[in-house]
Amino acid sequence: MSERAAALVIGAGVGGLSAAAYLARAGLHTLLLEAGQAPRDPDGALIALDPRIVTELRLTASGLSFAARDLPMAVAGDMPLLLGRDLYAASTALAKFSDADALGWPTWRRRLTAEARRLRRWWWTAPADGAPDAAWSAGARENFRHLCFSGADAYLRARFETPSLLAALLWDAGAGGFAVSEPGSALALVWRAAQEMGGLQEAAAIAHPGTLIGSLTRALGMAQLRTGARVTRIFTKSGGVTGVALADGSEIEADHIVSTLSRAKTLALAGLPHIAPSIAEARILLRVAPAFAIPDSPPARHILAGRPGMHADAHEAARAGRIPVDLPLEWVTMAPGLISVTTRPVPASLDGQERLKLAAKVVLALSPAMPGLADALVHVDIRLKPQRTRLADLLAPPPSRLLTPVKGLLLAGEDAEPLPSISGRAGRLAARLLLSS
Amino acid sequence: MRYDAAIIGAGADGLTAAATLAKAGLKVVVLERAPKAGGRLATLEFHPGHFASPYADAVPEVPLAIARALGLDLKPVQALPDGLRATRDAALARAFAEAMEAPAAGTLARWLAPPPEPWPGEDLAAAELSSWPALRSRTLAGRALDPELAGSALALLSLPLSEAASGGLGALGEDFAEGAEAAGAEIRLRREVVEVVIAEARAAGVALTDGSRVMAKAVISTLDLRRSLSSLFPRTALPAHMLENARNWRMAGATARLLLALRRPLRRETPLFLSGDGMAGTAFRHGRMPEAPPLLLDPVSRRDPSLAPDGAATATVTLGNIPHRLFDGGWTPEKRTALAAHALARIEKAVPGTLAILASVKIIVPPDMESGLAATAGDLDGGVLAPDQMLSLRPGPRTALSGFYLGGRSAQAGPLGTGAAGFAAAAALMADGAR
Repeated sequence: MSERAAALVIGAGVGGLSAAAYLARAGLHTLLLEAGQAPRDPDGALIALDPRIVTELRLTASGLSFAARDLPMAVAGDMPLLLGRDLYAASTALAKFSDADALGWPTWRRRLTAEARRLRRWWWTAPADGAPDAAWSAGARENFRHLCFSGADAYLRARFETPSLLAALLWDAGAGGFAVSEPGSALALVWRAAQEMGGLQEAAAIAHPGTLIGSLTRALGMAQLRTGARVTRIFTKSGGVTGVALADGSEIEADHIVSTLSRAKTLALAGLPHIAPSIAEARILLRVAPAFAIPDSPPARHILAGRPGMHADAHEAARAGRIPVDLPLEWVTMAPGLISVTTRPVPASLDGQERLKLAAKVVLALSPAMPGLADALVHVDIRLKPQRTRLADLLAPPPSRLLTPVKGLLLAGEDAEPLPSISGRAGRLAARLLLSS
Repeated sequence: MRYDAAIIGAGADGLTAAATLAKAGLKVVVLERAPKAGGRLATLEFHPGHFASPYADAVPEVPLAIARALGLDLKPVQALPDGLRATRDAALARAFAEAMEAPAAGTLARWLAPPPEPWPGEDLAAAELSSWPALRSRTLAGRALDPELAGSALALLSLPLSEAASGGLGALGEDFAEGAEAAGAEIRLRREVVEVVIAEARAAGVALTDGSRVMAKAVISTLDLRRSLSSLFPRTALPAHMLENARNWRMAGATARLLLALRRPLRRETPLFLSGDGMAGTAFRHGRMPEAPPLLLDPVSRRDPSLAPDGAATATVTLGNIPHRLFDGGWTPEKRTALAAHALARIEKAVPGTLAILASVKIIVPPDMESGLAATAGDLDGGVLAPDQMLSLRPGPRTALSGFYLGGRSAQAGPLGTGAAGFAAAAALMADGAR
């Protein structure tokens, strides 16, 4: 006889832990299944934790503390450029490159923030339906329409001229697998701004190792965490979920399942048709010898993107299944001796040999900024996150991204967000949707 | 003598505008710098007895109302699927309706106006061309579109599907010119406009290269947006935002054409499309000649025997992703020959025996398109067909300078139908005049 739970949550990441915590607090018998031996810290570079989760689950009281918050964007180059929340400082830094850009930067940031403030409600709460701009004035709608239909490449080139600035901003626009000429990529810049907005100090932040996952685990309450439990099958019957099968052969019955795996993986487990994206984001964790001094002062998210044109070329190469010649990348220091590198776009399927090639490429690209990195490397870990966001994903009401064709099966992983981000927001939303049904 | 309207350019748009205005009883003059009217609707005898249209084999459909009014004889190359046709027609109707409706006066009134309905066809901005496999080749031919990126499907609205019944596109151009003259418009050839004359803050006529002036109550330019705003006016004459719009307007010619004179009919009866190698877009952006650009081979004399002598044949090759400006300098004769040799080698592989019957090749690259049609960067679409430059986001016929109208491919109706933008500009001019 198999066991039974009211709700199952697959994956003990930030999303899964939040979902399980909210479900348990509502009194549901919740089982959290984690394939690994313990919940792991997020492998992604930056978190943009939903502040409501921090307060509602009292994460700070249970140990959450941040090593760095509100990281500025550092643009590598002959003349380094630091773009943070201080618009005046950023403008002064830009004046070394271009007067027009120095003048234009504060105005543009303010407009972007205003746009982000308007869209944040749409992205972060759960409106039933409609369109994000339904209640806006005609003028605001016109601007918004232009933003939606613009590719970031054209949009930014009309505003800025400094190549290194353009190249760095286009990195943000390529989030989620957007090509920089595609409609929606300009809107990705607004998404980024929405994460970094005032009052949201947890955006672009790095938690002290273990404290984020630790505090979320402590917030689980009555929810039961089971590690070493890899789900191999999601059972469905007449359009609804009935349970899961685990790798050890046991089966668990449940009426509700929240999966933090990707949409493609979840649907594959349920035996449903799905489209696997052809391109991916690669997350590479580099562990270095403790003696190696990581040149990260002041702490920033460092963007290595040589020229504005490289993003489009890389996208074309990745779609054709090749590792691009020039790869834009972002790196941050996660903890002493631990560097997280994100690079995109790369082909969604890479064999062992190609993964090694990719890692070597990344280390080579980082070497000018970090002399001696190759010798100091202790361990390299590569993960591929297939993703291909569309404009429609950014404009769809949030619940639609969590839903699947199967009743009772909800998504709460990174790709249940408009653009991938480690925020726990989808987990919280999935729990609320499940509880309200 | 003062005209009611002076029209710059005697292409399909200019002639349609002229015919429309003349039929309504206005005094119209069309100024064309070439010795022949028609613009891209031209036929060239590139080898004795062999004829072909240098710029394109077919053009977007001429809207039915325009075709009837001008008495045109057309045949579609390939029919547009019903769904797309309905979308295109609805978008065209929307463009015409906006042209005929005089805009609300004052910025505040516009700002407070109820938000407009989305344009028909806007949903294509999120779709990929690769979802329309049957129409892919004709849409991609001669363009620098990536069919796998969202928004590429918008180019389907500008699918070139019409050609003349016989005599190539040049015959169609003659029909347009005859239609305009029959309606009472005056066409002056070999007259190049250098500047739009401004008086009392409105367009009042045009100045020609020979120093003479043609005065008119309104001016319609069928040049592209960039050329219209930056070459027809002194720098200080226009408001800064207009110039900025022109500067940010993206134009990118990507078309090269080979006209092939063949001694015997080609082994293939239907058009052949060879898609690019997945690196063509990168090469294009870097100003390199792509190794395997998308290529459309069209045996045009199979459909229209008048284009070749008896027993012989004429074919055209349209190449896409060909940069207007090469990173290593201009388009020298050697580079042109290399481009043709590369393309012909690919064709020989697909249709063996082509090289053996080849009598002559005429090569046309983007700079030739630019000089021949006065199209910035040799862009035949009047501006990149990207979602932020299509439908409602393309400039309408009215400009910030009163009395000056935009009627070419860069205008809203431009990519939707041949002659459509000219018709919209004429409609806007008449609607404003009536006020």
